[in-house]
Amino acid sequence: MNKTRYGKAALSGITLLLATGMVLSGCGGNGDKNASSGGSDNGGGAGGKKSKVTVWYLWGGKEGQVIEDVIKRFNDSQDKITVEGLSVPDEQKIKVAIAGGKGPDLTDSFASNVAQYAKEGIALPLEDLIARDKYDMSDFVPATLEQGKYDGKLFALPLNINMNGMFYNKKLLADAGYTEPPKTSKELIEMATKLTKTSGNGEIEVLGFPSYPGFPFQALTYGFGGTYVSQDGKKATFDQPGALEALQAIYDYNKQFGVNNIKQVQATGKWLDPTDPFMSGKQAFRFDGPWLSTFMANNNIKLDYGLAPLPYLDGHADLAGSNEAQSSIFYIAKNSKNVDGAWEFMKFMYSAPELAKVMGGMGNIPARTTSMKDPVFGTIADADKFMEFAQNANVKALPNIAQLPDLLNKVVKEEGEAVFNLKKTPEEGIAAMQKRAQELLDK
Amino acid sequence: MRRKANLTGLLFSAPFILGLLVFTLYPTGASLVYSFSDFNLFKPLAWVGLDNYKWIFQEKEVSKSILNTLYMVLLATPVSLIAGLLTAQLLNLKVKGQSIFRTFFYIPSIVPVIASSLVWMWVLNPKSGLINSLLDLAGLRGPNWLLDAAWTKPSLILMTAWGSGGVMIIFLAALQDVPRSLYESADIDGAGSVRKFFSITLPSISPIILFQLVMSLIVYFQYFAQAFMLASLTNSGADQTMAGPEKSLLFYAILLYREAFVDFRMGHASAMAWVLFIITALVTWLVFRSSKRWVTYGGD
Repeated sequence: MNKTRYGKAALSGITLLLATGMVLSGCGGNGDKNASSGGSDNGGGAGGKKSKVTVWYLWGGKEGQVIEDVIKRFNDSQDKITVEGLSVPDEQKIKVAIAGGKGPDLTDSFASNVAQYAKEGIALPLEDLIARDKYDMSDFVPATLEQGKYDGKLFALPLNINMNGMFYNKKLLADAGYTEPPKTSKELIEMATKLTKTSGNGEIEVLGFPSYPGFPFQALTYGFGGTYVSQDGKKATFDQPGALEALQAIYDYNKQFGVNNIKQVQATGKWLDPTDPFMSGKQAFRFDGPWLSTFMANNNIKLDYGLAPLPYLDGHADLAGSNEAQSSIFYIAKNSKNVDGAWEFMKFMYSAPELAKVMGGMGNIPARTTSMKDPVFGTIADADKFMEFAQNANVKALPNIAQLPDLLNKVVKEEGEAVFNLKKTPEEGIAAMQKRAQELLDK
Repeated sequence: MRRKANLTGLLFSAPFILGLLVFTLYPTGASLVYSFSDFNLFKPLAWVGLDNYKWIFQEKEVSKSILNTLYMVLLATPVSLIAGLLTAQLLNLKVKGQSIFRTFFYIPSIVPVIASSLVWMWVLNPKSGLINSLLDLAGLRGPNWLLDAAWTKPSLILMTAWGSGGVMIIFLAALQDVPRSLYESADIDGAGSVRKFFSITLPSISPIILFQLVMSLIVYFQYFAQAFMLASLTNSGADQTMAGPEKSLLFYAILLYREAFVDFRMGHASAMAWVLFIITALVTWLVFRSSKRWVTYGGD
């Protein structure tokens, strides 16, 4: 009796230990697999067995479906690689999964993260693959390719060119006697003030200034022809007229109409939602991207609006069309177990016709010039206008430097917030940004 | 035979022991090692000595987060205890529908934090939200709760008071354990209800107050979920800084999380975790020490 009991206990104990051992070795085993991956799979075609590539993307819903569609077309187009897509709308989760060796082979992000991912060893440099396949990149808009680079090396390919345009409510402008949108900073400020309507207790009924959905400092600065950092990423450039004028305009408007009243508008409506003040006719000027046009078109929102380039700094007609370009990108995880498969899919998705389909499906402007000519963009709301904005010579981009997240999330956010809340003057704000940014860049 | 019995015992407790080793002791030890190194999950770790601890004492965001956290510890702890105790006291009254009231007051505690935070974001909407609409009826203009640095933490405390059902239910149990006979003799002596509350109820439930105090302190030192929701879900999309207006929602645990999982500075995060552990342990120890003066155990 006792003996059997002991035997059973021992048996279950051994099973348990074995199971634990398996869990533990599973946890630690990734390193080996990674080490042997680098191309040994090579499409897996030789044995007739398909190799697998996992692609995680941040989009969901309709946009996620666009990615699933391109995956399906790729899987149908060849019989060596099977791509499996998954919508993971949480970037942290993706990073942590990659860190744990359980992440995707290929995933997307924003260009502003490329430097950090490259530096931290999350993203794989693409140079070798490009050289091996003599991959032609001359069709990509050069400014967007820069967005995939860190330290001179390409780590990611740009999908699109995102930038803001100035949306304006035609009816509100007409009611105030305007027939044209503002072209310069001065006109914008004057019109924004005139178009603002308040109720007796100061609450804002119509927001004239583009301070929704958030603090418009970056869009205004780049629109006014200013920049945050020099193109080589070495010098802070807040101490130039564009940034100061932008901050001054925000400060003056807030002072006149009350910070609390403006915050109330910011807190009340939800971005890209029927409660959005622009869509409900309660915002005169709005700086936003092509997704706003797409959203209004898809959701049948009837609003008589116009779209114009961002106003330029008064007295500097040479700066007309100034803007900031941003891109979404795809990168291969450094510890991908199927680098070649991921690269094959990437090449397919980035081919001119496919990129046109993917970006067209999302209502974005593709990063390839040939894709831009695809007829699909004739059917997308405002695509023609955004393409025109994108091709202006005054469009700039923030350089990919590892300090970028700290620069944007700490320096600009903290100092900008202090000016927005009228706790610092624009001059003090700019001086502080310049000083702190330079310290950060010198690190 | 004896050894066999020991072995059997060990084998049966093996699941727990292994769990403790693998999921508790190993990570704890690892975090101690990380706290002395530069480690981002992707690159091999490099020893940096006390740099991470020095960073804690120099970084402005850390001091800001400590002040924010102390605000919650010092205000939310008493609010949740008092709200919990008062509700328990009311729900202890023999009235019609007592169990229905008890259920209603406890319901907020079983709503998941994420869901209740989302609901509160609606309630606190400055224009169409419930609270400001009521204030509007009274002719008052309510604040921009979640966008005004002065009102973000009071918003959280309001949510705390609403969700104090967990505290309440324990107090309710404690109140029912206070011997009837004490109240009866107080009645004979002519004591009023206030006098009875302070002289009988409070001393009788003081061990429970101690327990709740310690638990609350720990909860607020680690305050995270509600603030994380409010700070990262803004009207204009996700905010990666998770700090709220003028960093008024940057609590210690949020900064720790951000350092670890947004910026991948595991060294900073681990060092912060150890400092928090030491602070919490110290405060708990002080509370226990002071408890000799104000906690009365029945039978002593």
